Amino acid sequence: MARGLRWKFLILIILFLGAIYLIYPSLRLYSMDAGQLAALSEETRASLKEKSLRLGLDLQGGMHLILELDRSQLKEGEVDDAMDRAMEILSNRIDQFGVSEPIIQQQGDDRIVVQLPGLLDKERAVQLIGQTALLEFKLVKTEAEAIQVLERVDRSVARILRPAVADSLDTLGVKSFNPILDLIPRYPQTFIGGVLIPDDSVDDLQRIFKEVNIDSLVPRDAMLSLGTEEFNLGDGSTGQILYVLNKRTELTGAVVKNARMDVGLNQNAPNAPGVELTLDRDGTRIFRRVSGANVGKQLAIVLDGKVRSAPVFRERIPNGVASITGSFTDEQARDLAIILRAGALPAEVHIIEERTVGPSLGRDSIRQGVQAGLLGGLLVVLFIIIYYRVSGILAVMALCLNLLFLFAVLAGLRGTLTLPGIAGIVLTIGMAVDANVLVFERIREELRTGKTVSQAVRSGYARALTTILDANLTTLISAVVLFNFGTGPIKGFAITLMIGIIANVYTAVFVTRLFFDVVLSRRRLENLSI
Amino acid sequence: MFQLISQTDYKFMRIRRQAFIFSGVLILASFLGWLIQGGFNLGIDFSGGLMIEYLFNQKLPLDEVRNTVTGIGFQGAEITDIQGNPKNLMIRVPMQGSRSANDMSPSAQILAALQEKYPGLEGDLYLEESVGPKIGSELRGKATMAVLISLLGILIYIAIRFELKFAFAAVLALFHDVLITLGVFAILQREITLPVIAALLTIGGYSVNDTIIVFDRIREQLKIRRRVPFEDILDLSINQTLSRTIITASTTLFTVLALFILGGQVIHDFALAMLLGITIGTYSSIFVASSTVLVIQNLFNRARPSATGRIKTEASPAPSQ
Repeated sequence: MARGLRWKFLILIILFLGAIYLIYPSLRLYSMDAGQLAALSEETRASLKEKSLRLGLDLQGGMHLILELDRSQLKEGEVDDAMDRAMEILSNRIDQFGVSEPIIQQQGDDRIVVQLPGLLDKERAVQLIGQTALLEFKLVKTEAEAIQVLERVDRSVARILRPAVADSLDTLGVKSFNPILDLIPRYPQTFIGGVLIPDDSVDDLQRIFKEVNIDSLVPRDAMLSLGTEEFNLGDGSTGQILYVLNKRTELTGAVVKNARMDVGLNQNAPNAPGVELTLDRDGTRIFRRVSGANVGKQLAIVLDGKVRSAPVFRERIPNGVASITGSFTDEQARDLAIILRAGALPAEVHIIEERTVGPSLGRDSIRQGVQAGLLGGLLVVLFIIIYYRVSGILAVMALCLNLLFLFAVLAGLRGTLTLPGIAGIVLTIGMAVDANVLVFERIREELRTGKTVSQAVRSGYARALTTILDANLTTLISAVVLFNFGTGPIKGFAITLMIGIIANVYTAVFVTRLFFDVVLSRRRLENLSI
Repeated sequence: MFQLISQTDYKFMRIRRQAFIFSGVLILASFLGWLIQGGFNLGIDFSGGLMIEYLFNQKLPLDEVRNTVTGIGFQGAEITDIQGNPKNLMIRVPMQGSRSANDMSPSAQILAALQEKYPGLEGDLYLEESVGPKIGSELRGKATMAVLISLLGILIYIAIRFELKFAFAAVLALFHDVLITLGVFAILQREITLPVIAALLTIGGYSVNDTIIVFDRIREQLKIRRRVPFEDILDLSINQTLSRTIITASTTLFTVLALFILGGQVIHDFALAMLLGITIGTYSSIFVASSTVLVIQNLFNRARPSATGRIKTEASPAPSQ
């Protein structure tokens, strides 16, 4: 073998071994079943996953969210700080939720990208991430105060709504119009920190509240809030409590030192799960004072503006332990504890983009993508071998090498294989053949002019080279642009296309050439099977 | 040697008028289709909105599902079944502003409302995508940017590697391919999604790729055959590269066709765009691109008879003279 050839051969071998080294962990990981994977030590598994090609959310299922912090709730200059806190709090919540390999990234000034791969209870995850979790403790107004507030609000609402319904009421002979109080059965009823609204009327109440902008009508020191607990109305139907609270917040979630899920926190419902809060020193002090000063009154525990429960202070509470009970499932109580431990988000977050792929669709996508890839690849291989014979086999070997390099580089870059990525690979297969076709057609032309095999091969490659470079560079331009401007799924396509194009040029121009050269250096061929 | 296409000697330049008319008709049809259909069917990636796909355990009447979904506040919801499977429903809702993360997600709201109506109903959530109006317009801007920059990049590259008239013709051919593909999408009202934009850019790359291979040959032949008229050089070059053009188009089409048929619904529109684009791109690199170069050349010559190209190549002294 000539000296130059030996070097080229050596480089190819090194690249080949390097590719095998990079691709090996992925092959090992994806050939294992769940049992074998579980048998590995934690460390080995983590390092194997780290070195392997990752599957995108569209292939393994999962959730991709872009969250935006609601700036309108923040003062100027608070945004940066709020973002840092939001990132930290979200990371904490997600860590404790226990998803493997989550991604949490800041994007721009006020956006956070969250990716949770794999199987998950989507609703639970959204709740966990999105809940602002602003916890407030507010005193419930006494019955006399509450009735005063309700009647005042009722009058204000009536004044606003009256004109619209006045005519119909007059014809019915109805003199008094009490839009809010009418929704409360048997008013004035037994007072339990608020008034019971039957389920049938809850929607009406909320509609009225929205229509008249209720916050502007409530006296300045008070607020109205619908509870989340279901109450039995006695006649078999159920309803929710409309609480009348002090506007003033006695304590916030910031004083919560620890939170854990527990059962039996509420004496009336010994099996119901709830969350037990341990307050820090300041919190304990304030709690002691507030409880001491308000024995017999109710304290509402308000989460994101909704009353969760409103226990009565039976005595002064010295130890700084409070609990939240109410209609929770075990899971909800556990998640709430996580959220309260991690802290409240500095402002509400909005989901401005969501892409969730259920695991079933992910599985289908992989199967179909792989099938399409195999079939397309097979057709191409058959065609090339039939058309170009022995040279075609060389081209197919180069194609396989091309795919090996592509996957190896992707794994080496810790890349993620997405569905558009698979499309990119399939396209690469189609186009990889192009470079070989260019060379082979050129060699055929040269042979037709009567050149010897080795002359034809040499000038065929030489002449095809500029064409191949020009052709691939223009496609590369598109791929680079796609990579820079594209988002998530498109990036995956662009990456595989970029790597594919580079691997193409190398395998088509150098590797098949090397194959030819090795054969031609051994013997003089009269005819070339091309 | 097994050959699909032996050495050919088609006179492509002679039918350039017909080719231009054919292309003109296609582009006009695309434009009219776009006009008649009232524009593109922009996917939620660009228009913003909500797309939810469920596999239910029972058949549901589409009308009633629509009523239920609109009933809980998703105005303008469209319900379709997927690939004829009446249990596999897709629900689309135009955007209604971004939602607070405190709320239940739309898919859960819809499932709950449907379960209330149909006891025993189970739904396997296949897909939920929601794109806020702000993101939608951002993505629109980004996609437009990507297309423009990639066009500019290609134009600059060809202008450097070839003469400007080639660059102009190649970009014209590219526009031709992308416009007609878009036209078919408008006529069929297929959705323009992010993957479709990726496909369009790839078509751009492929179209130029195909065209450049012919132009490379023209450049080479111009150097070798100095006495041959420009028009004949163009024909010769197209014929010489014809077998390559056809073979590459076929192998690429094999793979894209496999994606189209077997790739599943997610990749379907992407594959359709590629299928159209490659077919049109192959046509344009044979019939349109070089003809355009000739037209530009002729215009140029009429304006300034001593210009480059044919005159120059003929005027330059051949070794035998």
